[in-house]
Parts: sequence; structure tokens; C-alpha cells
Amino acid sequence: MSTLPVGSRIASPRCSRPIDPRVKILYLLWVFLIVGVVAHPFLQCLIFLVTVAVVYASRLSLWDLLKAGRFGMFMAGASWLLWIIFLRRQGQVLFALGRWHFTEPGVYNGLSVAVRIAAILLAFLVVFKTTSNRQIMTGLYRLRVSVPFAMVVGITLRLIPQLQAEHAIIQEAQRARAVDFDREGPLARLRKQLSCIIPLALRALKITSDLSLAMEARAFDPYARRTFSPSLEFATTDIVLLTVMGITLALSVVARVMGYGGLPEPWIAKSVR
Amino acid sequence: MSSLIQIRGLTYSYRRQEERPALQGVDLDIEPGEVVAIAGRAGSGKSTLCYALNGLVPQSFGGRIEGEVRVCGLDTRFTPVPELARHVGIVLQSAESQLVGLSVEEDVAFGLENVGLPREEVNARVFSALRTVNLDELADRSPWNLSGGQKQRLAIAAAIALQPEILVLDNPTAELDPVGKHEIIATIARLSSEHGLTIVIVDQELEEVLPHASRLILMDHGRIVREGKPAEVIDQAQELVQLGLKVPDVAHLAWQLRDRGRWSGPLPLSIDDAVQGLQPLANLPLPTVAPVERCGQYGETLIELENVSFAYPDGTAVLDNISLTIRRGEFLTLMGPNGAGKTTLAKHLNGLLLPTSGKVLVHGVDTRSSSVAKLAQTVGYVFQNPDHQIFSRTTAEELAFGPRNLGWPKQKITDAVSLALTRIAGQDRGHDDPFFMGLAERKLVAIASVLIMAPEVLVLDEPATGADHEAAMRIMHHLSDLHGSGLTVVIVTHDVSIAANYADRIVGLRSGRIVLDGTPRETFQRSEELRSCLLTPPPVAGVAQKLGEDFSSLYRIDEMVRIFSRA
Repeated sequence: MSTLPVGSRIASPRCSRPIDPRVKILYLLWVFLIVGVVAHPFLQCLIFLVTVAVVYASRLSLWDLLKAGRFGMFMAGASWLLWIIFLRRQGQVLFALGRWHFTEPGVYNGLSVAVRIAAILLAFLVVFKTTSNRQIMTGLYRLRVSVPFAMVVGITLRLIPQLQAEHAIIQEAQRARAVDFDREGPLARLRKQLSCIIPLALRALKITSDLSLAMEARAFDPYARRTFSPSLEFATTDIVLLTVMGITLALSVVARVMGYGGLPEPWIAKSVR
Repeated sequence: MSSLIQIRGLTYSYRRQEERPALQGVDLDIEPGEVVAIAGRAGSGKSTLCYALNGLVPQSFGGRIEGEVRVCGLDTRFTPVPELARHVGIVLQSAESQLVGLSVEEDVAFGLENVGLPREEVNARVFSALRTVNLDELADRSPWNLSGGQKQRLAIAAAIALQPEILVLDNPTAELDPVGKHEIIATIARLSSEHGLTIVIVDQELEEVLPHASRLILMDHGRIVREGKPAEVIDQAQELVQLGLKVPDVAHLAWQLRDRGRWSGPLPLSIDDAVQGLQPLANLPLPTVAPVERCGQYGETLIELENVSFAYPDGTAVLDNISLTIRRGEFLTLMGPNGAGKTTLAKHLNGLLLPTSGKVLVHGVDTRSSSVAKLAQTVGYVFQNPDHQIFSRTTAEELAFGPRNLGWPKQKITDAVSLALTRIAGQDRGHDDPFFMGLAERKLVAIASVLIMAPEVLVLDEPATGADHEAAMRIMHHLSDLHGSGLTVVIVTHDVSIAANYADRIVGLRSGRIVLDGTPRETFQRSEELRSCLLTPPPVAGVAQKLGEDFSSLYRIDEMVRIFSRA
């Protein structure tokens, strides 16, 4: 998430008609729910592969997205590793590296968490990169979300790339004062980040305050009736996609209720049993 | 006929600043179709007055208000801001902070959607407004990819799309390059002459605005201290100086000559008026006065760029085969339009960016083989906005940050902080919170926090941009003193007048290439190359060149005054 350049949205996905923003928002919700409902890591990997397929269908570069979301991907990898470390003495040992044991609960629980994070992140990035703020706001509004909430989401998304650009400048400004962010231990590095966090927080305040002023000066009133453009209408593709998502989610819930799709017994960690 | 804007006894204080009113007893009437320019030093109340016109003051800012502001007959204290926005469009100083949409079209449509217009009308008005500011062909572009001038024109389009009777512009050109400034002024002139819009414009630089203004208002300490026709107000040049304002260069030249009995009549506002006034003097036999060159003897090479090219990871090429040598003792300015590669080049000087091909040598050491932290001891870099840098609770802490990173001993840091404080503010200011300082002081703290590491070269990105004239002069005099004491200074600037008055070398860039390199005197005579860098010579050079061959090499007010005083 740290290198999304300002104004980096992709204008048109592969299909001849752009996907309705409501479908994209519901896709994000679908990924979020289905990776929560399904607990089996292999099924979650399958869902992750679906999100990868959506990346390709959207004409985006997977590598660029992974780079853009590298912090999230790092968190996913780190979670996996932590599960392996904490559950190294539980269950069947899959393999060992020296004194380190990779057990079934450690590897599979970690994989489950990592894939959840990666799938949600990838889905978020795809939607964010292929949908303008205006479409997101209109989509949320047409999904009966309140205007203030839709506007808050739209404005937050608009601010993310600007704050990333600000962070990059601030980091350069501190490097010019001999701060080496890549040296010394984690605590020292964290302390060095303070020199970025404080100016960034203050800049964020200034930017949001200026933006709210500019919005107000352009007749923005969160509680007044407003026009949401563009007008939205579902096409056949949208309906097909919504149907597929609806059916798969419903099936997953039913399957889980019936006892399928969860973690196999030997893989469940004792602490969460 | 009643005035479009009527202000009576307006006194206003921001929240928690009741003891320091931002506006005091302001009375003002503005008629339909007027173009009113407002000038004053930072904190004089100009922006507050702008916000009072569309109800942001007091409705959004809170605070205490007395008196009355009526716009199109509406009392701005009680009419909701969204309603007032249909009558008063406002454009703020920072173009980027106003961008709401992620496409040009979306941005203009935002206000129209807010007032609930039907979609068809939104579309029609968006394209009409974009046509007015000549941006209709960029409707699908991301506003973040526009130039500074284009972004500000977009903000104007977003304001006029609501079809207001009044357009208020708060310092719209402060952050723009000369091309951007020219675009905005031309747009404003067109909106006034073709669309009859009433315009209120706050601007630090009066030179370009005044030819289009019907009235000039000067403010100080929240009060209107003078108003009248621009020529009449400018004629009181001494008052402008006392108010911390910049006297337009041509008027300044004539004012200096008037003091010496060599100019009669009102002070000119344009180059042509100045030429007309000086022509009789220029025709007299004048003593030959050799122009004084600022450039002196320079020392050894400190930084050398050899065939440097640079492209960002996405493939955008910014620098193209640049070779440049910077010697000890130089005062060099990097100039050129937005996107020419000035800042990118400057960031190569201390290793913040590394060349894609070619090499940068600092004291003969390739920047690739050194760290930025190490290079910071030789080449200091000060960013444009001090707020990107300052984070400590006291000035002394802020100054000590760099030396601590370099691992200096405690006593050495204390001594260095003490010396730096003496230079910029005084020993007793060490405990001051830099966040509560004015822009000029924050910039000086930012400069000092880099200088404390004792670099041999100081690189500054737009040191005076965004500051008012008084603050800009304070910063530039400080840099001039530092240069006088032996520091090598490199500044990135759009301001030709800064280059003319302080630099002894100008390097002009265009599309990542160096197209100009020479002393200001040489540079300002190479009009072809200057134009290719989208730069214009300072107004005084324009006057000199129009006076004839004998004067064409002159570009500074002081040398013109010296020569014509002897006529």
C-alpha cells in the first residue's frame, strides 16, 4: 500500500463495458465474507486464486499490485511465520529445519490467516485501482449506504495517495538530515520513524482541513440532497457476477453449517480448540 | 444601485484568539464587474476577508464576529455556506488541496452535484466551465497529472461552474511557475472582460495583477489602510515598503530615480510606461559605468555531474545526459518550468536520488558508493516546505536532530545548537515551539537544522515560495550572508527576480536538459533560450533592452539607478 502513485487508477477493465461499481463493492464484501466463512486453508487458497484471476481479468499487473500492497503482504507472511513459531510443539511434524519443527497446526493455521489477508488485500487493491472515487461514492449511495458515509469513504480513498506522496517527501527530508532508516535494530528504526510520523500527522491535519474548506466552498452539505453521477444500471455481466457471488457465498455458509470447509481436526491448534 | 458586496464595520477574531482580531472595522463596497486586488503581508487579514465573503467566516471557522457582510443582498452570517457558494466561488492558494475528484471532469462536477442539479445540466455546465478555462480537452485526465497552472485553472473552473456572480481568489499564483502565473492572470482577465465576473484577488506579486485590476486595497493588522486606483496606490511606494509589500520592479526603479530627481510624474506600472519615462534620460550622453559582476573567484570543484540521466521506476525519464560542475563559492540557481527536472537534479546532488546512468561525484566520491547520511555532511538539502521536516517540540531539539544522527558528542551538539540559534533567532528562542512560528521563521529553522551539520554546499528547493515579500527577503538575505561567508549555495527557484538579485550563475533546464548556463547578465540577454525554458527576463531587463543596445546588458535596479542618476 505504500507505493500507489497518485492518480494511478486504470480507466477500463478488459470487458467491453465497465463493471458496475456496486458489483465491485459487493465483490470486496464477498471476498471478506467468504474467506471468513471458509476455514480450510486449501479452499482459502482457491479463493485467493480467484482474486488473482480477477487481477488478470482487470488488466492489472499482479507484480505491481503485490508491490503496492507489500506492507500487507509482509504482514501476511509475518503472520504465517508467527503461527509456525508459536505452534512448533503442537501436532504432527510436517518437516524440520534443524531444531525448528514445522507442524501441521502451525503451517496450516498460518497459511489460513496469511491467505485471508492476501485475498482481502488483493481484492481491495483491484477495486481501488479500477474504480474512481466518484464511482465508489455513487455505488455506496446506490447500495443505500448513507451519504455522509459514502463521502467519507470517497474522500479517504482520495487522501491515501496524497498522504503516501507526503510520506515519501517527509522521509526524503529526514534522510537529508542524516537519518538512515535502514540501519540499526527494530526499536531504533521505530524511533527514527517518529521523525516521519509527526510531520505526516500534522500534514494530514492540514490537508484534510484545507480539503474540507474547499468542499464546503463548493456547496458540499452532507445532509442535503445531491446528485450522484454517473447513473448506474446493472448489465448482464454484472447480474451474472452477482449471481455467482451470491450462490457461492450461500453454498459456503450451508457447507460450513453442515460441517464441511473447516480446519481438519489434527490441524486445529490446542489454544483455539 | 446597491453594491454587490457590502461590508460594514466587520471585526472578526478566530476561535481562541479573541484578543487578536484578524479583521478590525473593515468597511468595503464592491460593485458588479470590478476587479479588486488585495495586498498585505502575511497575517494582515486578506484570507480572512476572502473567507468572510462566502460565509466560511464565521460559519465554518467559528470565532467572534461583529458588523455585517452582505453579498448579493445575502447576510453571510446567516445564509448557509452551500447557498452562498452559488453566488461566491472561491479559489484557494494550494491547487492540490482543492482537488476533490480523480478526473478533471469529476472535480468540476463535484460542486454541481452538491447542489443537486440534474445530470444533464451537470454535464453541460462542466464542459462549459472547462471550455472557459481552456481545459476541455483534458476532461478525462487525472488532475494530479496537470501542471500547477492547469490545476489552479481547474479550481477556477470548479468555482465558476456554479455560475457565481463573484469569484474570490486567495493567492492563486503563490505556488506557480511563471507560465502557471501567466495562465491564471490571463484566465482572470478573460473572466472579467468576457464574462463580466466580479473578481476579488489576493496576491503577493502585484506586477501581473495590477494591469487588470480596477482597484487596489492594502491591508495591515486586519484593517484596510489604503484603497484606490492601482496607479495611485503604487505611487505611494514608501507606504508599500512600510507594509512589507514588494513594489513592482519598474515602479521601484522609477521611485529610486524620483528620489534622485531623475523621474517626474507618477510611477509606472508597465515596462512600456517605464521605457517612455526613461527614454529622454537614455537619449542624454551618459557616463560609461562598467556593470558590477557579482561573480568572483571560485574555488575547487565540489560537485560534478557526468552525463547524468535519470528515469523513475515507471520509466518516466526526467534527466537526460546532464553534465554540470559546481565549484566552491558559487551561488547557483536552477531554473525552468514545472517538470523540467530541477528538483530531480537537485536531489542528485546529495544522493537522495541516484542516476540511472552517468555519475555524480561529490568531492570526487561517487554518490552511489556513499550514503545520504554521509553525504549530508558535505551537501545539505533543505526541502521547500519546512513542515515536511520539522517535528520536534523545541527549536533547539529540532536543530540537534541532524548532529545526533551523525553521532556527534553531546558537548559538540550543544555548542553547535547554541551557535545556530544565535544566527537565526537568538539564544533565548531555543525553547520556542517551531510549530507556532511564522513561515519565514520555520523556514529559517529548517535551513539552520541542515546547516548545523556544517555542509560545504547548501541546496534549497524554492526557499522563498509561498512566503510573503518580507519573509522571502529575510530568507534570501540570510542565504546571501551565508554565501558571503563562503558557503556554496544552490537554489531551485521559479523567481527570476531572486536569480537576478542573488545568483551569480543561472542554469536553465527544459525537459531534463540544460539549455542555459551562464551569469545572470549573459542569461537574460539570451532571450531565445530563456523562452525555451518558459522564463522571462526580470522587468528591469525588459526595460533596459527596450531602451536600446547601450543598455541591453543591464538587469538590476541598482545598476540602472546608478547609470541614470549620472545623466
